Amino acid sequence: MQIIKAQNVSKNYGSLTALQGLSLTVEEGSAFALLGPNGAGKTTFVRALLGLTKCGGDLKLQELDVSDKNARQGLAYLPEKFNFFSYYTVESVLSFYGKMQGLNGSALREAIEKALDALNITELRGKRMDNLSKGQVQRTGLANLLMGENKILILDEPFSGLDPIGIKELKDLINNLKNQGKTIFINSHILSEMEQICDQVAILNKGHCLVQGSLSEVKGSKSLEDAFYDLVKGDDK
Amino acid sequence: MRKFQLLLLNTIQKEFRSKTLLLVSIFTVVIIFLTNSLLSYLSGEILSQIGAEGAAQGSTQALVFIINKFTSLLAIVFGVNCIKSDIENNVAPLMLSFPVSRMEYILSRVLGSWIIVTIYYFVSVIIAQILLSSSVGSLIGGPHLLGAMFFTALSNLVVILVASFMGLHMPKIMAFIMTSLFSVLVTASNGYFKSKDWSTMTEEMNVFKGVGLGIHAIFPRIGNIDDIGRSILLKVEDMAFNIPMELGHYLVTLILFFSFFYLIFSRREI
Repeated sequence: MQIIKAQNVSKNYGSLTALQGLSLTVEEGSAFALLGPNGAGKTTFVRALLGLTKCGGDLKLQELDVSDKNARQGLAYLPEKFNFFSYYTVESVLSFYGKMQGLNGSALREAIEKALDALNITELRGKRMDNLSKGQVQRTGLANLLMGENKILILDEPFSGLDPIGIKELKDLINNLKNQGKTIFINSHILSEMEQICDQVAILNKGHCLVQGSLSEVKGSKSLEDAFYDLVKGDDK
Repeated sequence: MRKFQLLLLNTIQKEFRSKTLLLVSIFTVVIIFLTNSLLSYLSGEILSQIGAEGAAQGSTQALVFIINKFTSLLAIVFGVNCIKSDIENNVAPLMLSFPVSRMEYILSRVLGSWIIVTIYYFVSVIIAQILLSSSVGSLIGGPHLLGAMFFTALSNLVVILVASFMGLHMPKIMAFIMTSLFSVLVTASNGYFKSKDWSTMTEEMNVFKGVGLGIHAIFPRIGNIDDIGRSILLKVEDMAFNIPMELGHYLVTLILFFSFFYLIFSRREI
């Protein structure tokens, strides 16, 4: 099943073109990296996918138009800079997310414990959001991805704000989620990390898709970094 | 439905922690106690002149007037912030990434704010009534007071809805001023046109009268709704309003305004 299907998606902000005729597909169960230089349209595409911005063309999530709220059923989203109400504790944030994903009672408590444990933030459970460091806030955001039976995870620059330990743990977490059959859609420009965790790749530049395919197809015999550089520079000329 | 309830609860929790609510609540209690103390001090003299019933009615009217003003202030502040703060804190994209529609999102934020404002209003009026009853030595309040409170709550819902719309399109201070201006304009046009029939409304038409008539026709008539509440509170028998017609107009224009709000919000970039 194609869990994300974009056909000829376009978005303009006044005279600025953010997306132009973008087409790509994401298969269910894959770990998909949306790569591109700054300003390529990656975040605009994620926002369009979540229905936060309107765009032209045909954009479907779980075979439903993105304007349909049911398209976001079983979806968890982590923005680049996760933020939540300052007076919420880490545990209450997780509880809110869990309840929104349909958990309650012992299932909710169990999911909270697992998420806290997976992100090594058990000792932060009673801390308010405004008393956390940037990295701790980001870990809390990541812990939310584990609440409920999500089928698709959308992560916007997830490595932002994490220290090397956090990056390693996140990579392990993503690999673990991938092994559980979840679809993972990551928007990033950190190629070295993406090369290690994703099996499908699309490279965006100036709002359109330069290439899409499996990691080996896209990079060929080169490193992902070299393949990316050649493609983007070639497109810029 | 469960997600809507969770969002509604989240709004109530958010607003319940508001410093404005705490400040206004403290100030309200202080005003109520001061008024009550003054009444107790003067009770002997007043009661002998106008009787317990008259003193109770006058004090109730004064206190309810003050509480109404504080409630309006609170309704504007909460209305301006209820969606704007989510957008400023970058929480709105998270909320809308759940399978909830924008309609449910707006409704949960507006209704949550309205519930908190209504709780503040009801609690303030009840405290005032209890203290006044003990001062004048007889129980005051009853169904007419509840009726008056119901109409004030309806009026506050409009103020919150308009303030949240304004808050999305302009800075907070400006939204506060514009919502206050909206309330004044609607109340003034309602006051002018309330006792006129259609033929007298349209005679000697000019630009100002036309604008006033337009406001009177297309917006919920919060001036009339407040007047109905006041008339019920004062037990006015021959009210100048057709209550079912006013409620019908209120409902239709409220739904129309909400639909307009939703239409604009559904096209908005979050």
